[in-house]
Amino acid sequence: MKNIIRWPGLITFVVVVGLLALIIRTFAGPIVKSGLEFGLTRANGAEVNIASVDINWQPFAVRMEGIQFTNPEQPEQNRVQAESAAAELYFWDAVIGRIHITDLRMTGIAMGVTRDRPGKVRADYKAEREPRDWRQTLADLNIDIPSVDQILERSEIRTPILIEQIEENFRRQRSAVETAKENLPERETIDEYKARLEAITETRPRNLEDLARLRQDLESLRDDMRADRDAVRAFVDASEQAVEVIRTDLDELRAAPGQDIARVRSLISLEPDSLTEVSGILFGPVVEQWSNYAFMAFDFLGPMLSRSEEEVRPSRWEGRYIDFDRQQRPVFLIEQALTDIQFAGTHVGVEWQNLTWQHDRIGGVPSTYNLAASASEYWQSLNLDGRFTLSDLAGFAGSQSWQVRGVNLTEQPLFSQSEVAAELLGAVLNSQGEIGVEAGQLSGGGVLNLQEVAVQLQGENRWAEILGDVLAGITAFDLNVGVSGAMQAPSLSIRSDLDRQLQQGLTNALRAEADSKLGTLREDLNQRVQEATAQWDPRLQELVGELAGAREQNATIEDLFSVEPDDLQLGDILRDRLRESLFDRLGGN
Amino acid sequence: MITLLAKLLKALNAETSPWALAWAFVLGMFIGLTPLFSLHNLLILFLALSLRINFAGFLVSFAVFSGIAYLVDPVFDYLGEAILQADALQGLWVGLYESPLARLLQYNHTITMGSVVFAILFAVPWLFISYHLIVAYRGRVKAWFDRLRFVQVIKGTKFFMVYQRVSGLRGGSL
Repeated sequence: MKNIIRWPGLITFVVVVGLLALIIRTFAGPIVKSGLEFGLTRANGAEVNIASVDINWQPFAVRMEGIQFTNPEQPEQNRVQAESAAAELYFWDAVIGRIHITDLRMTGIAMGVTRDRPGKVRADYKAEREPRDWRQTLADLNIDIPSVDQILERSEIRTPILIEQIEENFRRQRSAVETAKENLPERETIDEYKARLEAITETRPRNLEDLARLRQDLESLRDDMRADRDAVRAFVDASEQAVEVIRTDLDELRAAPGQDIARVRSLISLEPDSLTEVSGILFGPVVEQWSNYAFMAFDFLGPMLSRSEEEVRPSRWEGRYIDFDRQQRPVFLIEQALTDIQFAGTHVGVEWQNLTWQHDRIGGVPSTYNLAASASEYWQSLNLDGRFTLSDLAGFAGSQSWQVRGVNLTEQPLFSQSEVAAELLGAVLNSQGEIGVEAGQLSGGGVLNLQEVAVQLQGENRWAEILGDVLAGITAFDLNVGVSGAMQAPSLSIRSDLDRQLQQGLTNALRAEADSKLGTLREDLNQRVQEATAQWDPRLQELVGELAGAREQNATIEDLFSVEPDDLQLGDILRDRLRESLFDRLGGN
Repeated sequence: MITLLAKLLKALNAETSPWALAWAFVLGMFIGLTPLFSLHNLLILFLALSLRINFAGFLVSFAVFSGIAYLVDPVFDYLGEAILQADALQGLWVGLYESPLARLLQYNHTITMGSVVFAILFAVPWLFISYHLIVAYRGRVKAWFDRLRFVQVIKGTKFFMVYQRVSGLRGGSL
């Protein structure tokens, strides 16, 4: 045996291996810390820090302090951080890569906390989503609140134009009437016609020759009157038309100032489309921030899912590990976890059960999480429930519902630009909703009902001042938030009745601002209309008088024309005499 | 490396047991062909250190077979996969999967399994081949070798000086 064994070599081996084991045991914490930081940084895409890791060997447990996940999209903030995390797990399972945690407790979890120094982002990090730039959207919106002068410029005040048109109409009608008037017969001529007709009708023809002569005289008189009759008719027609046109014009003119004012007022309202996104711009960033809490569970689940989706690419040069797991035990399982989340200055506990990505291996039992907080100074009630399963057949499926009552929102900035800043001074928030996940795609949404709202918007722009005044008057509104897209990169859409309220409020504000100017405008237009009508009303009356005279003259001439030559007959006595004379001439008795 | 080769030559030429050298070549072949950072190699290292085998021969064998392993890893992968997928052995592999020791030995890794099986099968032939090569070298090759002209040239080189120094320290001679 002495010849076979090389004692110095054996002792060296034992010493080296023993020292190695001692070092590993002594420095297990720092070694695990470095390994975790390296691996989690790769998974997170940005620096992950762990202040310390303590390993307890019996029972085997790991405790970590000061865990910080840098937000790769905002390196100055932590995506999520925790004060401590303690897990009890099975050692030999962990050695062979099967993480089975019986109890996990995490405290001081918070999201969006500013880091002491910005974290490093990995060069190969690719943004999971294009962040919506709400500020850029505000610039694109280009809110245009026109001044009253601008509105007057483009409102086409019709009264002055109408006055000109009516003046032109009046001139034309007067010219037509004057022309017709020039051809009217003189009164003496009419009297002469009367006298001649009277003479004809008063004459008693003694015989047929007399009768024929009278009829001839009457024909001659009618011929003389015919041109005058036509002239009178033309004058009456022209006058009637002129009176009709001028009367209509004057009526229209009197109504014109009122119509102009109404049109201007109707123009003092904003385009409905121009304000559909204001609520999104104002509350988009803060809703996005609030939604981080709604998606909090998914932040925990995200790495799990990506782990489950990892594909092993076999390589003949590297080999591969063949899975002989027939006992169907999950590779990763947290039976129970209690996480303490810092939220709105207080702590909320969330309980998790059966966290794994291999639900098929735990009999299809879903992973569940539940948050229930009793009334506090910050809210009346908070409830959040979620469940999900991940299987080879159905993929990822889950749902999450929440109900929040009476959350007191404290002062917080909404957005800030160089010239405009909006701030939520306070509000009471109620919200409920449900999000479903099917094959990794989110759907659903919720309603955020804000009451006792106090919003302050300040800016140098005129529209900002007006918008600020209007916002100050809005005390309640709803935000309907829709959620869609991939689970790791949810996208939000916001609809709100705030837009409608803003539109109404801005319109009212503009109209109030315009009222004094519109009063002056109304006075000016009325003055011009009065001047015009004062000038044209007497002329109309004059025309009406002349038309009455013309109609009378026309009636007289028509009367004169009513006597036809056939109306002239021999008288009865004369007719008897002529009959006797004829009888004698024929030799009668 | 020159020192290492010199030590190997000294061992080949000296009175070191051919079996000690042959076993060193076998252990070196084992650790060289299989993935280095495997638990079983700790055992190989333990054997190499604690048994009276020629350690220089072990290291040289390890270096040579490491180079060969890079070329034949796809073959080991194919062999390992065939073994691990063999229906008759499924019960064994499934049983071992729940054993932490077996998992630490990475038995379910195709290249590890293929190379270890190959090394085990090749160990005995390689042991005897090595033994006979060493004996043959000492009996015939060494004399023929010494007569070669380029060996004469080598004897005037730095390598030969190192070799002589090593031999001198240990009291050996050509």
